[in-house]
Amino acid sequence: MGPARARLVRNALASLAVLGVVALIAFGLPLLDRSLPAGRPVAAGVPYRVGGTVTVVPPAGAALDVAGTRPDDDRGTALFAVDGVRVVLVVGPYHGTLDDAAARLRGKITKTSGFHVTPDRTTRTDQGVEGRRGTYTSPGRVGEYAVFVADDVSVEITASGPEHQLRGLLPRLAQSLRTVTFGGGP
Amino acid sequence: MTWADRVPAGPAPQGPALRRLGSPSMPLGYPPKQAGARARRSYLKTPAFWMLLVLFAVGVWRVGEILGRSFESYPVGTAVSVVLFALYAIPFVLLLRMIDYLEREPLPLQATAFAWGGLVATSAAISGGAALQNILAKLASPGFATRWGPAVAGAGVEEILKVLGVVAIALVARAHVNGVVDGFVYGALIGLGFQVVENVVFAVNAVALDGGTDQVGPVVVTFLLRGFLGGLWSHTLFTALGGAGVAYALVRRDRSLGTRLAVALALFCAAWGFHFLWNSPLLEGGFGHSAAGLMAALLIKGIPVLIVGVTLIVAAERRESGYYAAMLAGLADPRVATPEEITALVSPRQRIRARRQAQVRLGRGGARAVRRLQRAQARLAVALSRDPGAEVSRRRREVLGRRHQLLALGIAAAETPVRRRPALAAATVVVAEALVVALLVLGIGLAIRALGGS
Repeated sequence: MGPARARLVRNALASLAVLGVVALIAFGLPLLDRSLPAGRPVAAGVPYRVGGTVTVVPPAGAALDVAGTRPDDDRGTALFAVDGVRVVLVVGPYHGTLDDAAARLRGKITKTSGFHVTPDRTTRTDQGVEGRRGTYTSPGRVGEYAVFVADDVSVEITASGPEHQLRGLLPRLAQSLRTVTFGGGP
Repeated sequence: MTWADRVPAGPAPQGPALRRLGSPSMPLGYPPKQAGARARRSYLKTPAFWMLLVLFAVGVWRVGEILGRSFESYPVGTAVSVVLFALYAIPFVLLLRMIDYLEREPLPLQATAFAWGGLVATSAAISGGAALQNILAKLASPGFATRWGPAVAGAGVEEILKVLGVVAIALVARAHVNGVVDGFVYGALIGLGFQVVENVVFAVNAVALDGGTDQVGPVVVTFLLRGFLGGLWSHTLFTALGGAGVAYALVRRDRSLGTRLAVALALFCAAWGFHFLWNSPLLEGGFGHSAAGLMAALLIKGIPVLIVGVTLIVAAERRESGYYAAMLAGLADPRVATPEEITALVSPRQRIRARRQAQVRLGRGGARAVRRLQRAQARLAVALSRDPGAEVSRRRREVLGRRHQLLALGIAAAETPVRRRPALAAATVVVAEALVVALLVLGIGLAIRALGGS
């Protein structure tokens, strides 16, 4: 092998190594992530801290999806899976009114093509915090949404899944919504 | 004293300059660079070039998809963030051009570095970083992933991806990585490309999180936070350190392989460590949550990398400039470069001072002429280091041409009184500088308020 050819082979091997590392990070890590189970059982009836000082008692039978859950000091996200339905809670600082928060959540939902919301209605937590609750539809799935605002913090809740499974979950979901508590965390 | 007085007659170089100079005492790198078209043809023959093409194609597709969705959902917010962060990159590019003054890297390679950071590293880091944070949440806890995920995944994944860009450039154009400064510059450009695209994505995410309506406010806040508070010691500087390490390992053949690898590893670890520290939750609350406390915490996290980066580049530049100064001095031809000019040429501050002096004496034309002479002298020094043939002759003629232009101006100026900057113009400059400082302070203050400081 001449020196020029040897240089070419070295260059090809080094290029493959670079390509390999990039591919490992871009595709290998997501594959590894998907291969690890994300579900964790949650204790029944025990409040779970979503973020800041907001807690919720998840619907009975729910499992926490740790990949979609990120609790933080002043905000947080929690993702629960129960009977094929995904329940997402998003907590964050918010300085507007409840109506504005509800409009914001509806805007986020309808931003996705094919999603439609129905007019919302008033709901209330066991703590006495007023909120708005409604439903939305998307191709093949239906969803419930709710929003609460207190102490300059908003809690947005969306639950989506196949229609018959969501309908079966509604009583437990309603019960869970009532357990949203502000100032309940550390 | 006129320019003519400063240029005593001297012997013209005889024969190829390098032959007379002998081997330079401090070789910068290997092998010598090739001339334009020949070098371009040789790129096409390297497998690394085709690897780059594939990765760029994937990067364009993935980043294009992200930006396309952003433009579709938030056209105004996305457009403003693209414009703001593109403008933000300009001072960095100008600074890098000043650092890379003597032996400028070819524009296509500079663009390649920027594109690697903005397309390849960013697109791979988005999926890889998110996956690594999920893995942390699964193996440790969601709380741990929230607090330490950005530090572990951000520093680990992103620094590897970015420094690979310098390796890729060395594989495609090895001859253009022939000094630690080159690695620093390529690394900085890769980091800058990454920083710009990442910041645009962050700005659009901020718009989405802030109610989902297409507005500019969250973009401006992101610009202030990531541009002013975090931007000075961010990806550009981190990757510059890593890139300098790669270049050191490649060019310092006067050191053992072990030493070269150890230095490269140490600089990569420094880049990784500074990035980790910056992203970590340590000192995240500042000292007492006041604006001053928050600022102090940011400085404690950011200043060390700035000190290491500046120290490194000053040392590397000193070595490089000493090498090129010796090239010009070896000609012993004051028509090409006087000792004072050589001293000024290799120091950014003195280069600028020489232009200012020429402006005071000869007006803007004089400053322009000195700038052109300096540029021609730098090109000649580089030509002397590479090819003792036609390129040196061409560059020498260019220097002499620029010298004649300057002399002509000098003679004209000798017949007119020395120009002084009018008081009004001087006052305008002072006011403009004060305004820039005030805007900077205002920006930092607004950013701190947005961060939650009082």
